[in-house]
Amino acid sequence: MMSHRKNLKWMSLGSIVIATVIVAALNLLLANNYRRIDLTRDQIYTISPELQNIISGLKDKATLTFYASQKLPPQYVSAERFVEDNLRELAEKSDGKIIVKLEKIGTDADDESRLAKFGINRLPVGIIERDQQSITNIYFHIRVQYGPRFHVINMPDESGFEYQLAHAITKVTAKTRPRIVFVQNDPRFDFLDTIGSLLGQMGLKDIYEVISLKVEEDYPLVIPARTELLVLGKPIDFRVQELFEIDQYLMSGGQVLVFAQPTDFQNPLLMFEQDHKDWRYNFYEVLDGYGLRIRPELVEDYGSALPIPVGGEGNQAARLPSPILPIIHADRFTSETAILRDTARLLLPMAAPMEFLPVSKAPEFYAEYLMHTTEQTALQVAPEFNLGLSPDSEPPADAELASHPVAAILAGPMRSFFAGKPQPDALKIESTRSEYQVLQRQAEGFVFERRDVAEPGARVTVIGSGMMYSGTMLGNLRRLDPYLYGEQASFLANILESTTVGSDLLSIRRKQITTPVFREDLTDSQRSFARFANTFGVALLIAIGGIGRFFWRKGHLKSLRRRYVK
Amino acid sequence: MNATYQIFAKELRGFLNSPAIYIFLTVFLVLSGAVMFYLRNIFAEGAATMAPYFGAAPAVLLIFVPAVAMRLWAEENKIGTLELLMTLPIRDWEAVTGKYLASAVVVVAAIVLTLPMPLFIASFAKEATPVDAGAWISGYAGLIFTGLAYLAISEAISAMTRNQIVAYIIGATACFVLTWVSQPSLLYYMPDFLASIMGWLGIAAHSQNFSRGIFDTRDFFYFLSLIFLMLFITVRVVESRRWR
Repeated sequence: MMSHRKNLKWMSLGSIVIATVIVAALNLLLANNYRRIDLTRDQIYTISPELQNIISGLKDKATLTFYASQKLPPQYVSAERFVEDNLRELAEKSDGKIIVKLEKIGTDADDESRLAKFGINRLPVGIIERDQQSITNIYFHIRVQYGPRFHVINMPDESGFEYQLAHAITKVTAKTRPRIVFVQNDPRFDFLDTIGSLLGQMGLKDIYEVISLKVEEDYPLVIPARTELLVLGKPIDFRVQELFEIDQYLMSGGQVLVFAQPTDFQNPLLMFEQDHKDWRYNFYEVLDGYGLRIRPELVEDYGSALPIPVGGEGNQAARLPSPILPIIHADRFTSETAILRDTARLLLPMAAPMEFLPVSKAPEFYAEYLMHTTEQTALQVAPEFNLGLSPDSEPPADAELASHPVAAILAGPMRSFFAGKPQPDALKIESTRSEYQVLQRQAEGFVFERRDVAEPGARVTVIGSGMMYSGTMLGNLRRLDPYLYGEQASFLANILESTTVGSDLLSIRRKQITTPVFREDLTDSQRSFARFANTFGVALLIAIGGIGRFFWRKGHLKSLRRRYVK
Repeated sequence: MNATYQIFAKELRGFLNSPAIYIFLTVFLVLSGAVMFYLRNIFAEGAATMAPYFGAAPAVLLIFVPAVAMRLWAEENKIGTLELLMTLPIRDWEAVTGKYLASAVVVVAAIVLTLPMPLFIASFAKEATPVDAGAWISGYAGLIFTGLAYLAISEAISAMTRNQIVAYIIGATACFVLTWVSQPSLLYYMPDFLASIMGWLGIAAHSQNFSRGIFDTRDFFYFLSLIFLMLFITVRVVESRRWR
């Protein structure tokens, strides 16, 4: 009898062990044959058709190797699975054009020296060990190899993973990079340095050929051949020949982006110490000719009670008194234009309002305001700015609070500023740099043919703030609010991508997790009701139901007892 | 199958007639709401999302589910009705499945009763930034799978003991351990081999994808496997009374 019981016991335990082994084996088998269904609205965890499109254009196979340390800190464990899953999915959808390799890197010195040849080195990350913060060095890189060219993605992250991949693939496979020319003709301004470092940080210099041109007395503006986008940062007076150069570049179907500045000062706190020049530089007259007027006022935002530090020395850091800086929120973006995608708010220091002028009735002519300030903005007329405001300032009694357009776009058959006017004499080139540019342009067979009406593709985008990308402003912005800084950077990248690399990369970059936010018009009582209803309301109903059920059952049992128990 | 249904119906009636279940449900709903609106205060945070709830709900289920399951077998054991049940022409697996399904209805109903929360949030969200319903559905699916896994574990524990309180404490502890064993901060200190096993074993690692909006067949089969294995163990434990 004892023996039979023992047998049953061992059989029972044995069956549990066998079932566990079978279940584990099945799971192991399925680990390599799995399917992922992305239920998110924007398919944010699925390789997009745009990336597949980029890959389908590859002539040869690209190899993506993911290097991860054997021992990853906790915060990278789920990221590792995410990267591996996405790379496998990419390989599956690539029609054999992408080969994915996964490599776990331990402490082998050979591995380290092999990877160092590709510029792949351990990167420091913070961990908490025995209640102490410490640093550990890990491998978490993807190498994208295409023929002899390669690009390394350091620390791929979930939110921008697909863009990082697309960017890397575009970089290693591109034959020519779109050329963007940044022009600065105000010697006091740091536009070029800031833009340069920002593009570098964002990795955009890998995709674009960026040319910076500082226009000075001895170096007149010569727009290089194959320029896809001409960016004018806070333009002041140009020589008439330079205006003609810009105008004819646009008329030949070029694209111009202007960061306009309404006032002629660098540090607004010092404005009263500087001679106040009439700010209407001649380039703004050219814009008038195209149909957009930058107005001479300054937009002052009483809705943004945020003091912004703007530099200074030591503990004498000056703070730009608010309200002065319009912070434009997404609900004031009036256009679905690609350049505003993923941008929830923007800071436009010293913003200028603008208005369209009735210059063209051509049906193809396109003019649209891109963003408006909040309703809480007033205009101050130069040179009577009153900057002695504090965060709790009230608008002046006579100030008319209203929303103002601060960015606009013009496209289509614009009329040349020089139409009907004689062509300016050619500028005498004296500098070797400009001479070299002219020669290079001639060598590339590129000549402007004089046109009075713009060719298709011509586009002028004007942002009413030249300080938007000044070093002081961005530096302080990054310290003050990294999120807002990120938005400014996204905005710049959007402009560049929408005008140059086409829609694929832009679509991929905008594919990210957008956090829905609550309506601003929610009242306190609505919020309180939601809180109460969800925390106690349903619970209360269940409790009442339970009590009702209890009494009903009590009565029911009583009646049964009355009926059957005598 | 008919026997399974009979057990299912009897157990469900038992739940409906038990005042304790209404108390557990009430506590579960209050805790769920409190997580969203008081502990995290999503209105102050400004994001119209269910992420805080999906993050904290496994902990709330950890309190609720073992309470639902504790009486399944421990009570029968204690008052001696298990012997009676064993004499009926019902197979062990039918009894185990019937009881599991009845308590699963309670767990799923509890989760479904929190649905006003996403409805409120969706109606309060800005039109320009609509909520991601797909991700929420996936998050709720993840919660249901987590709840059902907890239930299977707790039922197995309940079958092993005669005392409901003991069943509750051990059940909740087992669920807790199985959930947090895959926490990356824990895995970091484990040897590689053990870390890879524990990383796969933990419930939290498999519910994470659901709350992000991804339905992954590996996670789905993990939950199915866990539930099957726990019910299998329960059947063996119940069966052991015949030869003990």
